[in-house]
Amino acid sequence: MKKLLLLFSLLLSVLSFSAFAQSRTISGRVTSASDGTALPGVSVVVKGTTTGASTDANGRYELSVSGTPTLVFSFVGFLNREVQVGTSSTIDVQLSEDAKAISEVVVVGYGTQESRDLIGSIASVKGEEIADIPTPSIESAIQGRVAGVQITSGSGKVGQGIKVRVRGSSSVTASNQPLYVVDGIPITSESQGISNNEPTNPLADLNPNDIESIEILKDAASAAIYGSRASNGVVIITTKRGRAGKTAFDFGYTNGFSKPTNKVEFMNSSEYLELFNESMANSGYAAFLIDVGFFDNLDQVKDYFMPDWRNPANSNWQDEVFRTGAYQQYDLTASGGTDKTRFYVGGSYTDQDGILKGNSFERMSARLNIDHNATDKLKLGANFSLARTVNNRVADDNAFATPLQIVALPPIQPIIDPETGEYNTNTAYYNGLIEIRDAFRKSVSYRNLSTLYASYTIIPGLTFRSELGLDLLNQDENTYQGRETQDGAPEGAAESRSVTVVNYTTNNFLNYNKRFGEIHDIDAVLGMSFQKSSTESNYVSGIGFPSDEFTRIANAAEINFGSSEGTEYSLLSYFTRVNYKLLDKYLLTFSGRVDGSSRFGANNQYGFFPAVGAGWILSEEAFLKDVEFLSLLKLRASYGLTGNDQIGNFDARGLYSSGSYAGVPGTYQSSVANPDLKWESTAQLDLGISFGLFNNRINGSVDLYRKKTSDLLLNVQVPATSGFTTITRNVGKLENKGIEIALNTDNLTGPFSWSTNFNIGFNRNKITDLQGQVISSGAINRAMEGEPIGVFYTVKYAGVDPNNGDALYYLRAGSDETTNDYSAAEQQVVGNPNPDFTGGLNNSFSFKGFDLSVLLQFSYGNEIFNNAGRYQSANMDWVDNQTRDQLDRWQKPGDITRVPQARFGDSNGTGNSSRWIYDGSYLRGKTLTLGYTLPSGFVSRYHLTRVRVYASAQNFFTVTDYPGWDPEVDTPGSGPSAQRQNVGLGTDFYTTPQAKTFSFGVNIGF
Amino acid sequence: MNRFKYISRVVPALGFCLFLGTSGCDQELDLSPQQSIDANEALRTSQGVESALIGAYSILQSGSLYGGDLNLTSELLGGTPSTISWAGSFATYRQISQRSITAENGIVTGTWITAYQAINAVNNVINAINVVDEARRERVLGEAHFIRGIMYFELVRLFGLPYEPGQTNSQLGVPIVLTPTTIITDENKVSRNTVEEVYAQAIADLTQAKNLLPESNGSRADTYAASAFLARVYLQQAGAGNNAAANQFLTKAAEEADRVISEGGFSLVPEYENEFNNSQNTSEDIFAIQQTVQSNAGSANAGLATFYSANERAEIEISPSFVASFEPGDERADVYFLSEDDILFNHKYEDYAANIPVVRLAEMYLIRAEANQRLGGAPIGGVTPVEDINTIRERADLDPVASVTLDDILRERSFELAFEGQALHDAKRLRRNVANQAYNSPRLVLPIPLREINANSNLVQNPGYTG
Repeated sequence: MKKLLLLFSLLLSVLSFSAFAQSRTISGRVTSASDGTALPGVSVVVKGTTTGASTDANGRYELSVSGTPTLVFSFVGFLNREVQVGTSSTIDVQLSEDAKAISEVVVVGYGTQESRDLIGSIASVKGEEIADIPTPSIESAIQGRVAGVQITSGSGKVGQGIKVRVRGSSSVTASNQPLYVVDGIPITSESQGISNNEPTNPLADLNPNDIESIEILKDAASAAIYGSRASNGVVIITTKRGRAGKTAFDFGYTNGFSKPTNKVEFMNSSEYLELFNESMANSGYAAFLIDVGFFDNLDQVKDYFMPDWRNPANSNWQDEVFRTGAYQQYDLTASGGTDKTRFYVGGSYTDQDGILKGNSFERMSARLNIDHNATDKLKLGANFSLARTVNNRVADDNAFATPLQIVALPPIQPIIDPETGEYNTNTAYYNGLIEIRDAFRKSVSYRNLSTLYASYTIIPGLTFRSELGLDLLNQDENTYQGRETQDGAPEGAAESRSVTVVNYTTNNFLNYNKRFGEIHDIDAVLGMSFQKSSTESNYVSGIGFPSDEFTRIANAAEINFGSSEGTEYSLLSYFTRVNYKLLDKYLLTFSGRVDGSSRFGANNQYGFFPAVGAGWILSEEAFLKDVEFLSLLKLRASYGLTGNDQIGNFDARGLYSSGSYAGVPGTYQSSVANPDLKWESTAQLDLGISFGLFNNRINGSVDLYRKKTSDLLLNVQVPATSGFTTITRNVGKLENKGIEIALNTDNLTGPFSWSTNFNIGFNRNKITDLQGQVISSGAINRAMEGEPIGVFYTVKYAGVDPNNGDALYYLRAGSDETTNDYSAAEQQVVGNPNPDFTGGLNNSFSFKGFDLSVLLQFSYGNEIFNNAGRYQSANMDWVDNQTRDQLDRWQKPGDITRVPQARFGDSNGTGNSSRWIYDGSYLRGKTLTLGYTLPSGFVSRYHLTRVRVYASAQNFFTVTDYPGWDPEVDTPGSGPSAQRQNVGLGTDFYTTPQAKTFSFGVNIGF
Repeated sequence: MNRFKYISRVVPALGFCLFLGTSGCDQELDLSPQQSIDANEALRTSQGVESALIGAYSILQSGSLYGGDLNLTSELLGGTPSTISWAGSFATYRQISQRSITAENGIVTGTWITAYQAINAVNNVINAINVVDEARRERVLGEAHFIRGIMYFELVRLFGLPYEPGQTNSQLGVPIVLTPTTIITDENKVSRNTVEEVYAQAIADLTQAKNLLPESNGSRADTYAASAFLARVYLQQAGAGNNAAANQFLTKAAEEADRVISEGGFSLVPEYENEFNNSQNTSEDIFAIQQTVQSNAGSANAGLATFYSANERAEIEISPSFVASFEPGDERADVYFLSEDDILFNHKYEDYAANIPVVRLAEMYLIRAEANQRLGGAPIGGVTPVEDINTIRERADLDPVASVTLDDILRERSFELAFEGQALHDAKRLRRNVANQAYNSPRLVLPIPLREINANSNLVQNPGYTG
């Protein structure tokens, strides 16, 4: 392997080529045959060679040729045209649109493919669709744009991890996040943060405006070439590259502000007092405390629990932690080059203050992508990107320090202590405003994502490409909690952690592309890949600081914990794909990958992941060819195996760890070798149909799939007489099946144009075999056989007894019998956090210089458990402020309500139950953008090529029955393990709502 | 530049891994963990094997073994409200103190699991003994056998019915595992051996330890620690009878105890209470668990101090009548004192970071005295039971006595060794009832943990337990 790398670098550095021939320059302009407009980006190639150029923004090209060759003009969505070069040095060409093509080339694993020839199920999002959307990372920008991909921002905290589920969850204990590949290189995408803060999101290091396209590989035919990492789908991100032509500069500026999508109505001071007094009066607990002599009367009980009742303030705590967030982004890019060397260079600065005080995200990034044709046959290139992101984070939702837990504080307690003039420290629970003032959690990451490549055309049609990618992530996280904070008392506490992830990959592959006699088309890839990722981390914490101005570990009186760790994994792979097309209508594909992983056990070190697929372009058949309105009709079927390699780096190994006895270091065996341990394995069947009607003005696809996952990793008990208690084995099974529909229509063309994109995905998840185990996670979630992953499992709430105000529960599943004895009620499946369907609807309009696009996004049928309900919507069982709906409590016999009688401390209806499970369906106005492009005649006077101003809104409306802050909610919990992320779904716990953002911006090209 | 020359470079580069075999690339998948080491690497050097032996001691220290539950299970299961009561919140210990244990009991499960972890640890050491430097090989092997021997002894007397001298003892003990576990297969589904076999294994291990170990070995096991445990084992086997079978065990018990007393160089700590809560071994400690602030059985939910000490969870209360039964002036009663709430607590384990004596010299005097008394005739060691008892009494600041009966010796033993983990085993060996349970009642035998029965279909549950 090392030799290979050496050879590769030699290849890049030493080899040089020179082309010699007598050449002259040809130039011209390429326009559309239909409307005469300039076509930028048209490829102009000397036939039989790779010499070529692309047209610039004005459709102009320039090319040096020798002799009188034939030039091939090709452009996506247009018919190729060949022109014989005569003596003229100017060749202007008109291209006609290709009615039968769905005008797209999509990026696939280790190559590209015309979407017309695709068998696999691939969703594609173009960079311009997500440009200038004010979100830190790309996942939220593609939410609602692709069928079958469920994207959930756990909360509205900026810079945090986002869940992406491609065709459902395929694992219970291993990660369900897709593999991310940027410019051919798999990147590090897991959270790298301190575990008790929100997970970080390494994808936020990518500037969305640098992205040319995002492809999501969903089925086995497209994803199996990524083998043991493809079960959760593969997201291929391609960055922008330069095109030959005059250097084009683009400047973009956006400025905006954001607010929470929603605030929850909590009781005000007088409502609180009313309910508090009532609750105390009804309280058996208070009566008991008086009975046993702790207190003489009810007023003393109130004095003890909530002394402020005598002199109530009127505080709105919720308003104290929210703020109007601010957003700004600057981008400056330049791209262009010659037919020999093309470049794209971009710099960007983003600064986003979240809607929560203390939560912000800042990114500086730069990118340089270069392509160079060294000779006719040899192309070299490089991508370099550097980013620095600063994320000021807040504590996770479980911590009292998390900002939104402040809503638990009673409105009758003052925010500012009148005696001290400072934040009130005598609140019922920790006053989170002190945390905001005196603590920080700052994470700074530096990211370098770079790729070098060389590609050499050995003979026409046969190309060898070698890529070397480096993903370097360095993150420093410093936290400080001041002396008045809950966890920093009495003298301050600080943590410092740094982590470096070095992840390099080399891909070396041959690509063979040839058409034989207008009958057979072969497109084949064969190659190998090696990847190694090493993580080093250091952690140290200290307590005891002279004052809150001193916040670094160096100032700590006591270093109370320190650690240094390292881990790594490597992956050696061989892959191939053969696409065969017969008579332009019969498609076959075979792909396969052999993955050897350092993670897998010795008996299963290599896994094989094959996929086969077939397609039939019916519209090419004689019997349909004459059907005028039918542009495309294609049937597709594929079947294949993929894997999930997200097991621990050394879980397969027998390991000794260190310990000590009597001050002497010793070792003990912490795990037993597990040589059979391997990937989780998913077999996926996909049946699809793609169609285009009326010159493709209506096009779309429907896919049916079934993913059967076996070899799920579960802990299995072993005889302890072996010295060990459990071992991880590949034993469980689950399945996902579903249907995805994508429909795109050009409703109106011409000066006023209107197009619509609609997508919807239905997925049904079911766990079929956990070896009888029940895996609990989150608040009330479970993974259990026969149920979808993460079902809510608890006692079922039956409302309130109208006679006495007691909370009632169903005694047994399937029975109407109720009880007021919480402990007698049986737990049962009471809800499902998985949606029945998700999707989006985008409408785009343009008229003259105006453009308008409106994206709606929806999720239907998922339920949400508000785990904070037992404190905040619990009929004033304790001192926590209550949501206003609790005013609807039972008060007198005959009252019909869902809110039990208020009885302080009596736990009337406060046990976990389905009482706080709500329908989480929602329809959201996700993105609205209204832009106006100034007339080119006008702007060219100022030597500008393009000026567009726009206004945009994110999450601008939400329709939901969910009474909490926001229905897009999924608290990550503390210490977010993969299992917690997979099973603990759809739970709200003082979780920050999403932000509603309005922004204004300008794009200037010159 | 010639095209073929180029190809001749590129194709091998690609083919290096593709076509020319994968041996070179395979090595790239062979990564090593960093905070841990591969089990195959761990025991390749002498240092590695010796470190694994230290690791085995740290397992003995765990709250599930000598750090806590070997003592607590014996005292709570073998104790009655007239001596000890559980006043804590853990249902697990409550079940034990009420002698109605379920097979899911976490304390019982923990002891089983941890004892076998210790056994597996030393099985690894024994298996790899040949890589240990010759100069230290015997000692390391001796310590490993010592740990295995005491673990089998502890397991068999908790999980098996009592040993009956002179009989075949085919009642089920615990599985004997003598080889290290490298991978888990169906062969790990072992069956229970008989009580006879497990005792024989414990004796074989301890005898080997006795022969291999040096006279002194720092704070770790030496030859006298092995002898002291052998004395315990033989005494346990002797039961309460006075027949030839019992006498054979009593003789061996007295001989081993005498060897420790006469050759070991140990001496009683002048003040009884100073034998406890020390950070170093005392002159009296034959074998003690070494605890420090960094390595201990726990300070929150496990460990002897956690449960016994009035300053910690204070969940084990000592009966006033028991403390009242000491003779006036007996300094041994001074280790029990009243808390602020007027409850008596045992202060032998006051500090979670202090050593825990496992076997100490006073017990050897008591064993020699008891065995000699029961055997009659010329005393083994040439010291009469009354002399041994007076040695114990004098240290407790009591007047010597002129003569002793067996009951006197056993009473002296119960005062001297109170709450040190002997209660259940003494009751069984002396064939005494515990509350209303006969010495051989199934309720005084721990259940095989349910998780173990579930994981191993070859295990037979003890009588009286389901699951």
